[in-house]
Amino acid sequence: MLAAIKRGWQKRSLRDDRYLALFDEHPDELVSVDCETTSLNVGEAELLSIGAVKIRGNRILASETFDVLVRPEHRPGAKNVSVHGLRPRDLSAGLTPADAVGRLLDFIGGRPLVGYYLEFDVAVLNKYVKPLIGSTLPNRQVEISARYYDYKFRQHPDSHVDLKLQTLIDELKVPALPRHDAAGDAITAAMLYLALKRRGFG
Amino acid sequence: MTRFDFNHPPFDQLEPAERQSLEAQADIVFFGDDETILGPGDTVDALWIVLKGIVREMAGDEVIGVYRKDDVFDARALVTGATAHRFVVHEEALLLSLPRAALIALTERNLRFGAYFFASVSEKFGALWERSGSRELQTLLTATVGDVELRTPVCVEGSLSLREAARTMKENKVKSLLVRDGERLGIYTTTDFREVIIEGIPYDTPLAALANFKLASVSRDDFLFNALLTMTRSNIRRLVVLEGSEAVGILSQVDVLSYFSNHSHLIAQRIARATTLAELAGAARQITRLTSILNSHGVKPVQLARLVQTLNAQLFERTWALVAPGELVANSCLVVMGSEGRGEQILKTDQDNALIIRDGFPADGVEATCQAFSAALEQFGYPPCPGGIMVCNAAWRFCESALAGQLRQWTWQPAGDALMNLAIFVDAEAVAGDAGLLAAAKAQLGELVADDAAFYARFAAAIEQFDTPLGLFAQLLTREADGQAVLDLKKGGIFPIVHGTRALALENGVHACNTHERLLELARLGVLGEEMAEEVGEALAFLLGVRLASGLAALEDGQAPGNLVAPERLSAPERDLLKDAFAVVKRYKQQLRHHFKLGSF
Repeated sequence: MLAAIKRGWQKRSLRDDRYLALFDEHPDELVSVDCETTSLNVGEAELLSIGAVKIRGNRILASETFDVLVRPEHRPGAKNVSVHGLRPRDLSAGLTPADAVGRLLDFIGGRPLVGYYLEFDVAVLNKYVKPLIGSTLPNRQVEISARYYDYKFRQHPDSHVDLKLQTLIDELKVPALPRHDAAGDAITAAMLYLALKRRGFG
Repeated sequence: MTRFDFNHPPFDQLEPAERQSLEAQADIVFFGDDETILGPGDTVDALWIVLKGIVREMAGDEVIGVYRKDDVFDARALVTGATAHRFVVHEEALLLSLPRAALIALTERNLRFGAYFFASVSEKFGALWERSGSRELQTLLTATVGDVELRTPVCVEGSLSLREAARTMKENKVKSLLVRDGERLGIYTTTDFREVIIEGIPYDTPLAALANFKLASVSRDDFLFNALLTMTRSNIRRLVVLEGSEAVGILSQVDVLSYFSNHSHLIAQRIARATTLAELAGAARQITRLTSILNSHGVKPVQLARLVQTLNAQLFERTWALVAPGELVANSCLVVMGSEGRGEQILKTDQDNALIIRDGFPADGVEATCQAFSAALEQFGYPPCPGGIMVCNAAWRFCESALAGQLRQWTWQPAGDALMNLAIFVDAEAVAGDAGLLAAAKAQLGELVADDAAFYARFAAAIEQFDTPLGLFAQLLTREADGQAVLDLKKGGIFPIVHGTRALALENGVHACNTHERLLELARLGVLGEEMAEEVGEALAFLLGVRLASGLAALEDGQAPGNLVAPERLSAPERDLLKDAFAVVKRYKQQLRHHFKLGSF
């Protein structure tokens, strides 16, 4: 109920009718999203890359992976380069944040978003989305760590639930991909989602 | 760099750019337990790679294949566009789906990649051997002098006369002598006798006056090719092999070259020269080592088996000559049977042998001789046959007429082990004595069973005795639960092929004992299609190869070689081929069932 009201408000505040597609439903489809950023602090974080992949039924459409590099407005710190492996020169060929986010919006349409600690990614994206379309991302959000918590809690109500990504990968028996980038992490999240969905926590 | 691991066949044949373009077209699909991925009637629009989980391939209710991480299915369906089998998730699976159109396009561009999809089973087997052959070639270069069976040097004093030297050489069947003269060590060879004759040197001249004391030597641990280089450089044919400062052998150029070309003739020579059972025991041990070396050099198990059969036959013949009186040898026929008769026993697994004695030859002392023979073989490392099919067992010593009666009984009253005994006898091969005795008995058997369709059906029925081989994969799945995943190659594949071919050979009067020769002959006679004969032969060769490799590994661990292999110790392409081999066995069994009308008796 509340969500519907919020969505209605978001729709009305749209600046550009082009983005009405964000309210189109695609039954049985979701989009798994992951962003690499310059910081883990939403206020400071700038986008470095965005990866996204559609999930249709039990199929991850890896063949249509959304994978773009973003040219940040400030140079990323050396410490961060070592985390995501994106050097300034790699990013110089990237898109402007507005361009990248605009393309992402086209890609996801009205599909619900899936992600691991999605809240952070959505918060960073919204910094660019809001000025672009006049609204934050209206899409329904599926938080994998929360679903995993519910799944584990159902099994062992009293125990502590470890929500580390590697634990989820191990417990849900999902293959670890050799390359860590935004698109790869989006695919991993999609695989985790399908494994949870199979267990009734999709 | 690709996101997924493409370093396994057939994708390892792709160029990096090809891998990347293929990956860009791949989707990931998640399946829960017992979901069907692909089945009869479905359009095959993709090739699947298992990223995680287990998928089973079903023919009806039977599990005929299991796919795990990095396994690919189904190449055949991809080519034909349809499958007769159902691919079902056994354990929650994440699969990579590669679109068919993209793969077909790749097979056209990259021929080696395409070969994987279009090659017939027998070609795939060939490719595997080729690969192991090239990989192991290097070990030939790392062989050491010690790997060659060195001729034990015959060492004499320099004071020995030429005449005595000649006699010593003759007695020891050697072509060279090591000559000790005080501190000096020299060599004297048969070639040197030419000078003696030409120069008219008296025969009582001491050796020391003529021996060559400028000896080149090589350490036992040195590389064999170094020895060959030394010989070539100094233009000499023999080197003294030293262990420390002691001469332990003579290495001749022939030894080196034959090691590289045909290591076996040295063993054959050693068998022929042996005058005691102890010497034969040494040669017998060498046969196993030779097997291991040749196998690691990529020699195909079929050729290897024939070589070993030849050596074994010589070994048996020589042993028989050492234990049996000449009279008995002349009036009997020693035969080897079963796998030894067929030339398919590469490692010494058991001794199946029998003795046919000419009617009227007195039986006294034969028993003791046979006991000695069986004991000698056991000492050589041939374990006694668990079924007691050995000459030391009176039941396997026949005079001609008794054998004729026995064959009739086995044929007409097939109770108990009768048919198994008959099957063993059908593979009999003479190794010593009068081969005519065996030929006559086989001719009798041929007449006994001619045109008796009911007999052949009874005889061939044993191929049904064990679970159909593909079903073993199902067993594999269940047995894995308690950590025990093993596959019986003999029951699963080797026996049905061997026995089915044996039944066809018996029916069609094919005299060869070796399964491959039988298959060739059956194809020539039109009993089997050529492609079927070839595929069955290749499948057998592959199964024998897998058994050999695991047997050699077992021997290295000090265990007895057996028929069981653990599939997880096999490489992915080997598992793939094992599955193909079992599929061939299954087709062959179907044909045999139809041919012998096995359902109807």
